[in-house]
Amino acid sequence: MCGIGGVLYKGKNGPVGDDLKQLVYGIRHRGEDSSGVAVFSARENCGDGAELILNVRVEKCGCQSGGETLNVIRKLLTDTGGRVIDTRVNGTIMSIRILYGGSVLDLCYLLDQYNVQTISVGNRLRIYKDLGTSDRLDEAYNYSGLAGTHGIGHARLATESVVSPDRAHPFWAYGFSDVAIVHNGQLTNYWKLRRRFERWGYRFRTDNDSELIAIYSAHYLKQGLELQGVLEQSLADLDGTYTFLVATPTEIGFAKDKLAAKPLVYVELEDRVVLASEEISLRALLPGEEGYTVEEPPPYIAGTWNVSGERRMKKLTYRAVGLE
Amino acid sequence: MMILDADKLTVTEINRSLRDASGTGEKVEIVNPRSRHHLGVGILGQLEMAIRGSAGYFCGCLSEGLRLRVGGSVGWFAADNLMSGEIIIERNAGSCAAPGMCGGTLVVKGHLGSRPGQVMKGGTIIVGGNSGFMTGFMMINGTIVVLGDAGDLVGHYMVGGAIYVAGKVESLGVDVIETAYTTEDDECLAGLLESYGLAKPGSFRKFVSGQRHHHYGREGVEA
Repeated sequence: MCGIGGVLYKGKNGPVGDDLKQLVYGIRHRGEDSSGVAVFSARENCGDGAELILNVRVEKCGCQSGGETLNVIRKLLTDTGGRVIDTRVNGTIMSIRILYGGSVLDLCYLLDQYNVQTISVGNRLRIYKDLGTSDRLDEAYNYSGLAGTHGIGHARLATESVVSPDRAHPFWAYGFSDVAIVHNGQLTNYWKLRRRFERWGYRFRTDNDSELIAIYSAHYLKQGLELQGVLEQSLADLDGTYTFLVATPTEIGFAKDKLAAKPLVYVELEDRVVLASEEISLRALLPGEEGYTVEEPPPYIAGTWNVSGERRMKKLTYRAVGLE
Repeated sequence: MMILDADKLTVTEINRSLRDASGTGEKVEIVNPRSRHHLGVGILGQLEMAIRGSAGYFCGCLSEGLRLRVGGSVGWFAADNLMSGEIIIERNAGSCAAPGMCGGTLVVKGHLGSRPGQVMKGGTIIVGGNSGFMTGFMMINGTIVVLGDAGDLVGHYMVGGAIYVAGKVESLGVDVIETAYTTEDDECLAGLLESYGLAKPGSFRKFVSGQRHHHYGREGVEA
């Protein structure tokens, strides 16, 4: 059991960090092993497309110190014509703003060779995650002050891999810019699909099945599919029982498998959409009892909202083989 | 009237107060529920209570004699293992409502999520809106009445009881057959719905077990 949540502001920025803190705290009973948030920063805080934010773990879990990490990154960027703009350290995560015009995938795989533990890379994406609940996470990383257009969060009860900061959610799509996921459930064809993606040249940072969803989504987005299409396809490709959220720079989407044993509810307000595993989490963020209706998507469905507030939702038809 | 403020009490304290109030004739109202889980659980005596707002998971479950009205919606597993009494939800209920229900009535005036009435052994579920997939999954006995549409696999592997659907039926589950909706059924449902202020649609379709996969207790069939 895990808890997932997300918030998206329609056509404007909002206090996404604080929203996620409350949402994830509201579902902490679904898992207190670790927690995390992925915030897509406010538009005016983003640089041009060549500007990236690298969130890397330092001083923990065998990682290098901040100074060593920075030296590695500076060296690699110099070799590729890029540079470091500035840095900021929160807890054991260093945010490094860089200018870099090359392949994000190549940069990430190079960093891996130098034992740099990258948590997220993107023009707008910042991931903060660690052991413990969302309030303790905020004490360490002070993410609640982050404004943005949207974001996703997670409270983890570990089932598929050990409890560690790098196996906390959200999972960033390793090697891709600005794609993150949170997942509640289990994938039963994880290894089969992982080997397929590894044959295609992709690398995985962990042995956690949720990471596959991130790489899967990023791969098909890169192939040109829209997020809605990726999510609909995932319902056929991913076996198991799951509900997950995927966030890109412009959208949040969800997919819920045909058995629908992993919950999801959402409320659509005039200015934002809020999603969570349970209504108690929505109420933690939106304490008023009246004025909004909580919806629960049916099984075998995928949906997306973009930052303009447009919604797409499609329920697929499932027919079990052998039904009389 | 006893007022319990969920902002000031833990769920354990609330349920303890409810148990103390049951059988005394005193009515109870819970305010500021904010979708908290486990409200009104394990009430084993006559008690009339209301929740002003929405409740979370397991609302009113494991109870016998509880008469509960929820002004908002409820989460998953409402009325789980309800033995007797009446739970009325003014808005929607999440998935897996009334699993293992043995008696009493659950009325959801809005929509119901997936798998309502799973392995229910008795009692009645009434849904004012639509019901999700696998309505009456493996139900053993009891009645489910859906005034709106029903999702995929209605009555999947049911072995007893009856499911009435007024609207569209997406698909039937394994070992479910449609049977004649009789005048007797109609009179019975009309009275039932009237007692909850719900308008009876013109007609229903009635679904029961085909008894082809149900071997227990049948002579000449090896389980």
